[in-house]
Amino acid sequence: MSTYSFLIRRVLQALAVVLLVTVVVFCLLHALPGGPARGILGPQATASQIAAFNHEQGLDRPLPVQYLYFLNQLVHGDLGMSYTLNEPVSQLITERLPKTLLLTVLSAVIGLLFAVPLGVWQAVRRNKPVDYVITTLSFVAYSTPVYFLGLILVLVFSQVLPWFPAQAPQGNDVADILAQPQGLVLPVVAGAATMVAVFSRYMRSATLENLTEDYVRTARAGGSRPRAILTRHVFRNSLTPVVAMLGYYVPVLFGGALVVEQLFNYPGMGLLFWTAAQSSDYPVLLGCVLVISVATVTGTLLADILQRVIDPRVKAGRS
Amino acid sequence: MSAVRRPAAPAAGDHILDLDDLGVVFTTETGTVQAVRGVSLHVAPGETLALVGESGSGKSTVALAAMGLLAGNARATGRAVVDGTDVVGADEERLSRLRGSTVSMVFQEPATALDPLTRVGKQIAEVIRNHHRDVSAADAAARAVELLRRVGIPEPEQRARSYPFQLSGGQRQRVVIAMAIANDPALLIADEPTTALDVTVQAEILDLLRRLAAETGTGVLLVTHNMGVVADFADRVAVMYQGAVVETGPVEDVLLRPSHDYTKRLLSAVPRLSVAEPGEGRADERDATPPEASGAPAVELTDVSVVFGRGKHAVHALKGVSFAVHPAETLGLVGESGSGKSTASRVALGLITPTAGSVTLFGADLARTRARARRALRAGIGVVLQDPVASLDPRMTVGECVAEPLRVHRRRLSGREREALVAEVLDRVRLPREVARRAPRELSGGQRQRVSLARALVLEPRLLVADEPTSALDVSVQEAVLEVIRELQGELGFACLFVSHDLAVVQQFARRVVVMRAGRAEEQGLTSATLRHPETDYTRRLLAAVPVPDPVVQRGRRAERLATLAAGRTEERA
Amino acid sequence: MSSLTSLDGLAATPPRAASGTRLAVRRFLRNRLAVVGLGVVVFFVLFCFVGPLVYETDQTHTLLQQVNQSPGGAHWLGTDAVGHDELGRLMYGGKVSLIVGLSAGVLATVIGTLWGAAAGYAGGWIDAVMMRVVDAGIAIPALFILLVVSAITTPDLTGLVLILGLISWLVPSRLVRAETLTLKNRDFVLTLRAIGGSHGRAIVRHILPNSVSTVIVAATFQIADAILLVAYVSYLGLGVQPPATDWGGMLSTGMTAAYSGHWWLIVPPGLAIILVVWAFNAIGDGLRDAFDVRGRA
Repeated sequence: MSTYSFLIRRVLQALAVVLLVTVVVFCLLHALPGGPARGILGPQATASQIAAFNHEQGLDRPLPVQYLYFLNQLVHGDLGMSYTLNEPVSQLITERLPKTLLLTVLSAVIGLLFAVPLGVWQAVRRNKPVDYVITTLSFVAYSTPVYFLGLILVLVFSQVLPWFPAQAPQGNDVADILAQPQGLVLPVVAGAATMVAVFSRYMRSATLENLTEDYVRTARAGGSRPRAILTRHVFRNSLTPVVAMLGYYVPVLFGGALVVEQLFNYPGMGLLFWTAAQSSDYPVLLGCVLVISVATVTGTLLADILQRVIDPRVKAGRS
Repeated sequence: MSAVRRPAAPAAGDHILDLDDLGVVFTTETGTVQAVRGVSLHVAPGETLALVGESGSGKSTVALAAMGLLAGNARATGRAVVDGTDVVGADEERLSRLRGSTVSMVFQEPATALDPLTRVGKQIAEVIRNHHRDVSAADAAARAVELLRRVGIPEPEQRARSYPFQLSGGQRQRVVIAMAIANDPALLIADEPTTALDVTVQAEILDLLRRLAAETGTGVLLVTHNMGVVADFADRVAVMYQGAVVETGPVEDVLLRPSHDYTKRLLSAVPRLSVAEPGEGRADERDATPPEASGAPAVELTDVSVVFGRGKHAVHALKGVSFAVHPAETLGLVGESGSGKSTASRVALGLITPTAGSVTLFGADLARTRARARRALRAGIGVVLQDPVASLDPRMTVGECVAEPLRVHRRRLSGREREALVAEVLDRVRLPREVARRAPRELSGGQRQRVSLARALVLEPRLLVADEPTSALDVSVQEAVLEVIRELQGELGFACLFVSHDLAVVQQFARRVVVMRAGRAEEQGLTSATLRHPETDYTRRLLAAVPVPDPVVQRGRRAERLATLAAGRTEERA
Repeated sequence: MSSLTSLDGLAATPPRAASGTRLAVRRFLRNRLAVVGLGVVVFFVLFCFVGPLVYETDQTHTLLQQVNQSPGGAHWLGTDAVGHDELGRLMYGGKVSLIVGLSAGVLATVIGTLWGAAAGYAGGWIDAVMMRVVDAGIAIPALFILLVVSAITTPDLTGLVLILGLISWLVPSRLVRAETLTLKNRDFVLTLRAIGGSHGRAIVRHILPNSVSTVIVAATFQIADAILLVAYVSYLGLGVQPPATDWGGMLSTGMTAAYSGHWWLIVPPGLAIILVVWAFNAIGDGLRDAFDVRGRA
């Protein structure tokens, strides 16, 4: 398959997924008790107020028509008005999305920087004490609710040892945030912990699997030293499936960001989403879900493309 | 009689490989296994020693032990001296210096032997630089290209930049050989180097190995199960059985005048390709058509084409193939990998619907039969597939596996009647009735294939489709399984479609044969005629490439084949 | 019988090998982490379901005379802001966490198995559509859905199990689909199809029984994830209503108290969650190695 037709196919697939997400979001919107009107007008609204609102918003028309109307608005970047913040949802999101991306990308990169060497180390020392200790610890990291981990981090590294601030840096854009790097330490660590746990496991099993491959034996038969085989051959071959897993992991990263932002009061989309949930600000909630889903689908797409770049076989259409 | 150089037996002491009382023990989950015991062998410079035996005989373990490449759960005892260094007990650094320079290895599976993500030129260069640190990367790359040229890869400059998956199986094996000879080793260990390859590619690879060994005086330890390959290549032979060497000697002695009972049995089980004597005429073709009395063919493919996928990436697996299998006869379907023989058998089974053409099963056109009638027709089919492991559901007992066709087509049977039928058919394939309660996992490969056969025959089918039923089995087991099929065919009179890549087996087993090539039926007719006096060049080349297990005959065949090839080349140039 | 049949091992059928299940059990028991995990799970089940019979506490009334006591004396793990004994509460809340987590994990596995097997066996465009639905589900992070749901409604326990099950079946469905895809092209299934066996027979007699180990491993990891998700539920405002509680609920109500030094309100439930989720992960890991199936790393 050529790169061109691969891209087209893959993007069409991604669009299909996004379309399905809009259906889910639309259904959620209409699953609200009393529909969106009750949600927006509040529990005290009378039946006639609701009817008037529904007529005004076109909510008394058939559902498929409403869905098309909703889609049309989406395509034009119109996600509605926030009920509590009195600003267009799209603007609220545009302000916060870059900051959330900064947090997630930082967590992912730092997480991988630790996870990959740990996994390789475990594989090389398989069933030795080091392997057991790291496995135990990564299961612990995986099993700890992020908010509990964040809390412990704050208690230890902010209250007991006053090393880092308990609150994330504030500011309107990414530059403001980056100007106060100490404030980023605890949120990023909290966000990266699960990443380290999951990906060190992936890397461990991928490396173990590759160490038993025939090509390792061929390289040994050619006189290559174990360390050279590990760095020149096994490492690259093990990294490919791990990159593919990265795509699946994007939603978990965003889920983590939701909790971390709330916990550290980090001014991103997660916090926006959180406050919207407290105040039943449905347009914001649904707008955020849509944008996060698109971001997830894009992340998966990027991981796929990255895999094609590093594995010539995938490019040739045989994986 | 032969122009091939025969080195005189060198004086003892200057062996390049000396095995002395070599033993290997594996520690497994279920206990320890003594895989190799008391093996003492030697290889002199310039000579080829073939180590032959069936699966589990320990031959590959000996090869790996000589390289110091045994798995982590293996422990070697005794001595394995390569050019003065005892490999048993040597540390990894010492071994690294030895491997790839003094001794190197060619493996069985070219598909997985190379790093899929590294260009082949770079993989060859790595072997050079492992032992010559002073060679620059550019020089190593240039030498890699030169090596690719030497192993007969066309356009070596471009191919050096290829990834392994872009090469064919034969080319990949040439790359592995290039890596092995990169530093002019004194000893080359080849572990089943042609087993995964088609027979024509096998002949080319053997020619290449022979030429390289002769050019450099390299000693070769050739591990193989194929007696034809032994006859083609070896100077001396060592036969292994259950971890020990039972017979050693010059190739003519061992293959033509074996002294050990096991060697005799092994050789008698090897199917031999019978070749036409010079000047022998083509056999009478009159009985090429089956006896009319037997009626309609059991299965008939008429002008069948199969296309997988569509557009630019469409694969034409079959192109207008026609053949018929008549009651009580065996039709052999032969061809190399990718020839479409398996696809054809799957079309006959109704597992693949043809893109064009028609399939008639017991006189009924499959495309025009209703689902219910088609199901009834299928009660008349028995199937045996290649893989003895994958053919039986691991979650069922042998009895349940064999009874499954009864449960599908004769649902009224009581449990006791079913058991009785299963017991009967197990008798027929000569398995003890007790195996019905066993799990397939507990049986050997040959036993499992008999269970498959029992399952195929329990409904007393009119057609048996056997897709490479014995190619995963050792020759002795193969002979026993084929024997059972032949006997039961005589008893039950079913038609048999027999798919195989092994021309010798088909020659012995099938009355008529279809030679497949690239999705077409290249040639068909009576086996006795077609495989002795082929009409097409392709079949001739195919037959010429099959090594026969007689060193004297094989030497002549090889010379003839190489002469034909050379003549062909001159013609092309002219 | 010809002399060759003895080479085939026919004269002496091999000694009965250890059965597949027994071999798997042996491999599992050799995995130290998995055995420890099994011990931890057994301990917590006894602790939560038998413990309250031995160690009786009042978990319904507000007991103002004994609020915020630190550990020691009559209350080994102290008391919370409304005077409930923390150790007793740990048992009481653990019951909810375990029941909801187990049920949701099993529910998710069942849905995922049926969906994945159907998609994998059907193949073609049905498979493509079904898998796009899974992709869409995975694209919306679970915590976001839970938070939206919490803004809409407060479910009861059954509702909670349903919600958790419905948002977490996607990963097992992918695993089972992959397994089904390989199984349906295995020789024994092809043989059955060739002689006219039905799809139903192929699925019920061959594909499902052979996927059992994959499904069991998936279920174990799914239970671990569900218990973890239950811990998030109260934090997200979907939790069970007081005076009932679960470990997640204890943890999130204790969070504010933690800043004022009442560590005993968060450390025990936090450790309980970590230990149980850790244990199920270790068991899943051990089972995967024992059954030798592919699954999540």
